[in-house]
Amino acid sequence: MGASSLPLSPHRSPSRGEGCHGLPGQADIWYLVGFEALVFSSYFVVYLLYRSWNPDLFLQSQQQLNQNLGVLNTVILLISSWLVARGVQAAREGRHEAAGKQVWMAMGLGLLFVGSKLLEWSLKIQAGFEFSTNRFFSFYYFLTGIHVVHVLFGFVFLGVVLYQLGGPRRRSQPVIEAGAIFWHMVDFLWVMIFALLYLMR
Amino acid sequence: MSAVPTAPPPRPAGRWARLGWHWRHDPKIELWIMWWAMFCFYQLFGVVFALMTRVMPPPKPWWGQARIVQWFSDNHDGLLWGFGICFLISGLVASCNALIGYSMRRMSVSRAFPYAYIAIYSLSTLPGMLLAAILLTVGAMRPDRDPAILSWIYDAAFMTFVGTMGVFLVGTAIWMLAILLDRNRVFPLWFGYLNICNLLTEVVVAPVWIFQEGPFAWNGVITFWVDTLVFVVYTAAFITLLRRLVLREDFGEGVLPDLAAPSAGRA
Amino acid sequence: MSHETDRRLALVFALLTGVTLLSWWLGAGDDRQAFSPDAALSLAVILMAAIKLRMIVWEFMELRHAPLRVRRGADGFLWGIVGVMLLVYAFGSRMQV
Repeated sequence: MGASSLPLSPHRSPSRGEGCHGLPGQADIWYLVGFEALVFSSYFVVYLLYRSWNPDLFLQSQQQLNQNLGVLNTVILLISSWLVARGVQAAREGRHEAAGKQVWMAMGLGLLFVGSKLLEWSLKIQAGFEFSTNRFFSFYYFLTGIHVVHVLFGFVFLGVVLYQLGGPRRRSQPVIEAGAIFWHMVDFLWVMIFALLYLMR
Repeated sequence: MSAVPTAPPPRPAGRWARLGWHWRHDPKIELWIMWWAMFCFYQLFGVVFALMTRVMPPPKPWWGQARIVQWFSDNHDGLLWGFGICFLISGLVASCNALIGYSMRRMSVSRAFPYAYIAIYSLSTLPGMLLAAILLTVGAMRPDRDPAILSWIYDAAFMTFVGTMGVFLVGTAIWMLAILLDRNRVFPLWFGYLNICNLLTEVVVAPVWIFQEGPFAWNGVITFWVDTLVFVVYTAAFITLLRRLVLREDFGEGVLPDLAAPSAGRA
Repeated sequence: MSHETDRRLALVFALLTGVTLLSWWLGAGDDRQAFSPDAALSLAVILMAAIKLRMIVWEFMELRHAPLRVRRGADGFLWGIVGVMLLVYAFGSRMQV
């Protein structure tokens, strides 16, 4: 049983996407990205619908958010995405140690993101804005919360990437790219959430 | 398909004769019975919960006592007949769990996965379906009780039905892990990833306990409609993939062979 | 080769951060003043988010190497959903259920 308990074993999918032909990573992870994009799009449309029914309440509540913290969050995630993209490139060129370093740093930034979200939530709760305070804050806690759950999933994916980078016999470039693609998805979901919750009027 | 020990007699021509042949000689007959039981269960589940008892889509969570009493009397017959069927067929859930457990035994993962999955999912029938059915049947059978008690029953039924998802969450996570770790290619990887979506829907329903109206109530756009759509896609995917698993099953070890190229003409 | 990719990724990151800061300046520039409805600003912010999103998917997730059909599909999906979002923003108040 020993050998078979390796996570995401390399023999799984024939390496489909290193050249210009197939999709990057595994085609399978793109199904997930597409489906998640669909689900989140439905959340965004519902948010905008409720927003347009009560624009004053949403505007007033949006003003209670800390835009600067939101920008900081975005930049943190953008840097981590950049590091992961560099890591994938390094792994592709066989510089696995360098790739591992990049992914570690990206995970560190992910932790920073989660920490700053916890801080932001606790500040909001102290200021008296809770999940059931009003419709805007329901959406705020829901969207940021479900996104943080995705960040936690992202840690699992990056953990698998790190594990695979760790030893030559475990490596599989498609799996490494699949983990990276999940992390980038977490990033782009935040980009849209940031615009909808913090910036739009 | 050469794993069958003794060659069965050739397949006869007629429809009924062929059915009889399958019954006696098809080595997969037990798997097919389980698959059809599961298939019928989900069809009947849909009919009972959506058409007969009117539990899906759920009625309004903000109704007062009088309206709730009226709902029980309006749906009296549907509730009784529907949940009567539900109680009769609820045992078929076992075939679904068994087939999914079987799929995990065919994988290259530890036996702990199917055992844990079966244990958790047999538990989940209670909060996910039976508790709501029992409570609503009680409400329909005792229309002369205090309206306050009836509205308590109504709340309890829908909150357990929509809101108690932790067991499903862990069960889905176990199946997902098994699929992603497996080397025998029993399921495609994309279905493993799709489990993440189903798992997240179980997290999304948590606000049902807090809100009585709006997008996060038990009939809300996000907590009911989007979640149910994801669940339907997920269920349709795994029913199809389990059928393909039965077709591909070779009763052997190692990598499960692909379907014997039905698309040969196309390629 | 490696140098080339590194530079490209760095450029993409710089652009993404630049657009983020630009939308911040647009959306939070009038710090602490009363927020008022602003369709032009909302349009700009949502479009910038969509462009950022597309850059992440095309460059970081490397969808630009995917077959044309897939890229077209992804573009259609992205701009379709942005269109729906903008329509809901503009006309949502008339869609009372």
